[in-house]
Amino acid sequence: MKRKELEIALEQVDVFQDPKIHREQYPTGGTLASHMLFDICETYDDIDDKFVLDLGCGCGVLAIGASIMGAGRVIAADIDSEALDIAAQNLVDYELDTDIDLVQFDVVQFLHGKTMEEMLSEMEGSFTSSSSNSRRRDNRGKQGRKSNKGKGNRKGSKSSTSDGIDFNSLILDEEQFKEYAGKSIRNGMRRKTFDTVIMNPPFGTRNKGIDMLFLQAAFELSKGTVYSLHKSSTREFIRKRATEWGANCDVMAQMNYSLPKSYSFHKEKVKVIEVDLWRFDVSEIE
Amino acid sequence: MKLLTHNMLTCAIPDCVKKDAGFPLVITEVEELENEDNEFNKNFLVRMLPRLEYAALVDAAAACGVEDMPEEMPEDAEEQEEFLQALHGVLNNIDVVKGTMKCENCGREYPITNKVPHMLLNEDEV
Repeated sequence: MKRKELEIALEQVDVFQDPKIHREQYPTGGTLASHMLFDICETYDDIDDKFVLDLGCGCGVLAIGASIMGAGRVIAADIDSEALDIAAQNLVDYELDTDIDLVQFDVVQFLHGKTMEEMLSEMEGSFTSSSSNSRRRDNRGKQGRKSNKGKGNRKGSKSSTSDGIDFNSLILDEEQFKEYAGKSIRNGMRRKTFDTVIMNPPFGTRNKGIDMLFLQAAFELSKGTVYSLHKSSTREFIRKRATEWGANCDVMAQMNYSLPKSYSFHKEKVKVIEVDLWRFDVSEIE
Repeated sequence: MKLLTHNMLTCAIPDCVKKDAGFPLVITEVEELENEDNEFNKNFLVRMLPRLEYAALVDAAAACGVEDMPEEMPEDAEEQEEFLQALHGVLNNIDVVKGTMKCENCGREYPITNKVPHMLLNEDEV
């Protein structure tokens, strides 16, 4: 198949009718998706006959593309049941409903054993409640981060904007990340079972840090490689974190991501942002 | 939900994860099942062999009416064409459309509807 053919095929995928702002539901366009999948396939051979996960699949564009490109099996996971409904219909339309399995799955819950909704309300509470402020001070007073094990390091949960929630405080540090090394079970899925995780995660523009939580979950779920799109402005931060977590990483390409005017707060008709297509080799991470 | 997917899913309740007891989820109810005819892909199957939790797969297959899987995976499984065909059948062709999975450690049930397993916890469970 030629890349252009894949692009045309993926342009037909139905996208969100009523995107949710807080989930940053932007569709992955056919041009971007086809370039991404072709690179992964032709340069690195990480799709053909592989076990592939599309994490935060939305309407399923990347999963459908991976399946067309010859993946052995594809699982597509998303938290949102409306997105999964659209994805399910897309799979039927593409006659891929027997090739791709959909799973309703929460990345935050996978990492922290709490649901995203619960985490959001808890974090919102911690910005206003004085009792949790003092708890945070207590934590700061303790040496090291062991006291926070499994709960995420909460020292950064100081800033919130009306735009969204700051997830940065939940990003595991090196030590917390290693806590799960070598274990097989996590909240909802076994670790290290997929060959390749491909994703277009939320960029963290509404919920700061959610992009890093996706990356972290992908590192735990893949035994081989992770391919992911992130805003170019976060490049050095991502490189630092990914290296700390034990991955070898490279920016494969910088692309323009056209966000259509899908939300009323967008002033421009199409907003173009620069994104990096990352390749993370996570095979060295236990 | 294919049984391959089932083989990857664990209980999401934190306590089960802590005790390493959230796997496998037992398929307790199968209300609707499809038997598909997906392409046999030997490369993929052989690649997956070391990653499968075979005992869990045998139980899941039995819950879906396939009782004749060998109890243990043959040592030279990748050479056994007949075994690989049978494995392909249970991993990739059985599709649970509607059913229930249950964690034996905590009793938490996970529904499968329209082929989608729902792994989300409720707020009061965390």
